[in-house]
Amino acid sequence: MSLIRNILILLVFVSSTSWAQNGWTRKAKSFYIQGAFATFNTNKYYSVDGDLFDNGSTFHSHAFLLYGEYGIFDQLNVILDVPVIAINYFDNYELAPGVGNVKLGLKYKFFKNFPFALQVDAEIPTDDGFNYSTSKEPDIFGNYNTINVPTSDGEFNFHTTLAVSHATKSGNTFASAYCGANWRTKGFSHQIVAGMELGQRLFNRWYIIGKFRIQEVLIEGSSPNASIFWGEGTTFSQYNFTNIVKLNDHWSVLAGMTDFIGIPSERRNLYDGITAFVGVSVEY
Amino acid sequence: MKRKSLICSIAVAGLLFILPACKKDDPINDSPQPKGDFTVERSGTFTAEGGTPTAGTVEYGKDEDDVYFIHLGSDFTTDQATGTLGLYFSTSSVFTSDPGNGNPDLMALGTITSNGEQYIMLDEAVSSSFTHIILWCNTAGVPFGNAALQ
Repeated sequence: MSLIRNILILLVFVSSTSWAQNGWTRKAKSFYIQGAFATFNTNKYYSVDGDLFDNGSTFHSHAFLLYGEYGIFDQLNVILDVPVIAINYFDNYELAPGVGNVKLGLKYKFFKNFPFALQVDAEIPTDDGFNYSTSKEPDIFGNYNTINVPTSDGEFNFHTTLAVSHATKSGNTFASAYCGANWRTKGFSHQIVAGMELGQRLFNRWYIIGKFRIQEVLIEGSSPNASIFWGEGTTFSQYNFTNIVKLNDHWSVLAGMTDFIGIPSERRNLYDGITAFVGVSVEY
Repeated sequence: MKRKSLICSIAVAGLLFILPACKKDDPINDSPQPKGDFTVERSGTFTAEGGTPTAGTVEYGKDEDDVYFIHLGSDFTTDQATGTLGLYFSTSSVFTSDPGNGNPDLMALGTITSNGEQYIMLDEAVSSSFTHIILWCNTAGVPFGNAALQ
């Protein structure tokens, strides 16, 4: 297997489950498909002002994700990312399943022999942003509560990302850096993201990749209806470790985790906790 | 979990981490209305918390039958996309629950499901030790705003 193809498998696999970006593209008429399961449980919420609240109910989110890439041309790929099902709920609340936003994009590598690419994605909402869950028991004051646990934010987003990558001649070590913007609609704040990753092959078929990224507000939103519960004003610093084991030339499995830290970008308007994920992929 | 994140990545990436929010039924507006003139004894203005757009006036007073009410003004607004929001009398601006001792610093008034003017009838007069009104997301345990009554 060529160096580039080798790395591409790993980075695509990593991309879909851990938000990284890279400068490589898939060759024409080749494809990649990945399924992954992710789980997240925490009661730590950081407000828009960055204050920690950890006395509320524990929030749970479990999801099954499908991701695919197809090479239209050697330097142009189409990418599809679908959270097929996501189940969000709080302790002692009914489950509230839903489908996440569908992300459809194109990735173009500028130069044939240099991994520098632009990716443009449209994130398509799958509902109106409302997905209520009801408590199973009344609270300490005797009230049954409901809470909106949306799996879609109900609005279109448009992502633009530039990524550049490099790999050693052996392909055992590779790195990428990227920056991009998320252009939101309906008056939500636009966001900027930047990140990097470093991958290393430890043994013949075992790879480990470390990633780090930050998100900040790029342009503040203007709509009074932009709810904090749809990611309005969310900022964070996030790291990720992913292990990939290639079973053969076509199939791979992966497992990893991701978590938030407070620097350099503060945790604002997010639930803070570890996400664990496992997945499998196939490519031809 | 966002944004926007898988929820951020997974959601968050967008997915998982689209934050939940607090019900749009059983409005507090079902509460009885004051009879005759409403005499205000204490009043205040909401200070927004948690990045919410909470604002507006709140009054504590009684009607001509000496029945006490909390009155949220026509300018009352908050983030209604979240779900059930609890309204509480409190001995301070900080929500301090102590269920083991009967929550001495809190008095539940009901749930808020809409913006604008509304009355909440009280069973009896409230001690002056309860100095604030707090708007609170019961599920997530996050303050939406508070108003000092003076």
